[in-house]
Amino acid sequence: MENNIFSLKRFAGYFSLQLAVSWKTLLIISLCVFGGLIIYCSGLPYLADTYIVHPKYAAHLNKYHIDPFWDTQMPFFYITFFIFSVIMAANMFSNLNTKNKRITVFTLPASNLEKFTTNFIIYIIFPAILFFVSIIVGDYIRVFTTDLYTHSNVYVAPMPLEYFFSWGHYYDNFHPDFYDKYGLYNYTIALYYGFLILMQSFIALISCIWPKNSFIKGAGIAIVWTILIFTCFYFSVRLFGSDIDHSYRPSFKALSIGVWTACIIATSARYCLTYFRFKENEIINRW
Amino acid sequence: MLNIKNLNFRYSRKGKQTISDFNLTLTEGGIYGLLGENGAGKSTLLHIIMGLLTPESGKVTFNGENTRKRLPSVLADMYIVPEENELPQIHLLTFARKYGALYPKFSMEDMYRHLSTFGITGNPRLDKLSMGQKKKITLSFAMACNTSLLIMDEPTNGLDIPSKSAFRKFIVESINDDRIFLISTHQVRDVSNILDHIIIMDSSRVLLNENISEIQSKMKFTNTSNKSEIENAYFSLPSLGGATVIMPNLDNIDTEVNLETLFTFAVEQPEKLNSIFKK
Amino acid sequence: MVFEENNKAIYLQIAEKISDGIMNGNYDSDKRMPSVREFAASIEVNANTVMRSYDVLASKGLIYNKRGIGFFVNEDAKIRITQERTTNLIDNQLPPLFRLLSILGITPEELKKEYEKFIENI
Repeated sequence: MENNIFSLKRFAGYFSLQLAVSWKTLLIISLCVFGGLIIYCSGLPYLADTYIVHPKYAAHLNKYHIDPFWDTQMPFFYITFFIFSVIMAANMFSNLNTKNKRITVFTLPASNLEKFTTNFIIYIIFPAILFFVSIIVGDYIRVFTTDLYTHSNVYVAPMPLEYFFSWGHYYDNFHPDFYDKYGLYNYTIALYYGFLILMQSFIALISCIWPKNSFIKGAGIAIVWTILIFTCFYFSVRLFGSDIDHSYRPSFKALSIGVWTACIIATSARYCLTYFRFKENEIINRW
Repeated sequence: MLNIKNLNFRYSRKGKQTISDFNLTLTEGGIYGLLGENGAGKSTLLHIIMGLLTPESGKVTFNGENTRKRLPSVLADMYIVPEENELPQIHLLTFARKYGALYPKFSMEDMYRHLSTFGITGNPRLDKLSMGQKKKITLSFAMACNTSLLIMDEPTNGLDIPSKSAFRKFIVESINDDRIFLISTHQVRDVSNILDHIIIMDSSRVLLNENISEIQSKMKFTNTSNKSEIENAYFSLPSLGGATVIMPNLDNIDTEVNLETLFTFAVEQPEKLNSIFKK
Repeated sequence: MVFEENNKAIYLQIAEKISDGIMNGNYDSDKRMPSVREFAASIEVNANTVMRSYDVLASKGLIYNKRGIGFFVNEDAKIRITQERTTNLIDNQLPPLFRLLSILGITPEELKKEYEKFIENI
């Protein structure tokens, strides 16, 4: 066996082992997320009477091809995605939460990078993919079920994928392109995703240092941060919303690129830190 | 070869020195017994050997590599059976296949053979088994990985008497010139005839590290009521009708090593024991 | 195999037990004896210990090693064991017995009668 830092064959063996051990838990999580989002997307429009709108508003929406539920759906998505991502990140090193599990993980013949990557894929990549797929499927099911119970005069359609990277038309019901002309949406979305990946990587680092109880700690931090972030968003939009005419400000598009870059670099740095911390891990916690 | 050189370790900066200036070399073909009082640092030593703890100074090398680096090729040739065994919630054969795939020398045939030595059949779910059965499965798997270094921490704990007998057979028939077995235990009676090297350690150092035949050639273990024999013995413990003694083996007649007495001697008079073997 | 708690080294006890086995005819002189490892596993003793036992037996001329095949019992092993045990009896076990007999005042004729009675009853 070579000591190269990453061997696909060895990684596949280790990854398949971790899957075999935790597939039941992952399946339950997948079903809950999938089921939850489908129920939300199909059920809520009916309960909230989203499609019963004033004809004047309906005409406006139809003209611009906007489905009114998109705006309800997206905030719900952003909040639950944030909480879910952070909770999953808090469990990134849950395979280290007892002494025996630590003995197993540290003595299994795979490189540290392979072990780290396995956890990263299962707890960071997989939840994101699961969530996006679930909401897209839920969305299509909504369109399908809407046909069954409403004779609405409103435009009903699956949400365009750009919506994941826009703030929707939440703040303006009559001038859908108004804010977006200046790239404000890009900026606020950059802030959202930037904070998300930063929070996630921070929680992952915490989970690596203290694998025990990281779920509780993670959930606690997640709640506090969610409140903080939405407060930030609210004030950010309030402040910038009224200052759009000052032409010396950097464009929001530029700002959003700046935010994305900064957050991606910081997140990568955190994961590198987490990886090195993982290499140093012992079966006891010294602090 | 496993080489431990000038090893120092403590759990926390202000805590006591768990291991200090420890030196030990183990060579292939040996079944080593590691004895020590509770808290003497046996488990700590085993964990350091496996790269699970970082030494303060000094190092452990196996096959020429520092074990703390946790290199995959080195890990593939070492295995530890811990004192308590937690097994995942999967079936036995899935466990053997998935975990065995990571060890290049793993043999499923050997796994079946060891399981049958221990009387385990079928494909049960691992988390639904008793402690003894989990232990036997872990031991079978560990041996089937055919690693050059196999460490066992209190392997006979939780085994019933027939299983202890199966364990001894299992160890004796699996050793070969390419493997090192290191058994850490309190239960000296469970392993007394199968060891060929005895290592006794206290909280910080090796008190004894000798081959059984070397011990037998230097010391006699016997019971006597002869007062002068007792007085001239290296060590004696009162017993029914006299004392259990360790005497110099002056007439070259070998007796069986009484591990319990030897252990007590090592713990109570380590310098004297040391001087006997230094000569 | 049950080992006596008489402090005698295990490898010597094993050699004695194998000698008993030879006397009982357990080993054919044309069939290989169990290998060191097989035998060690069956009695749960370290193979090196069994190796020492085999060495003791070989040094007494009771068994020999055919390279590459294994250990075999010598044709004259039974005779040698009988000789050794007889010598041991006469040199080590009889004197204390004779001492006791003479203290109790038992005559050689009385001893012979008891021995003859014993032989009749076998």
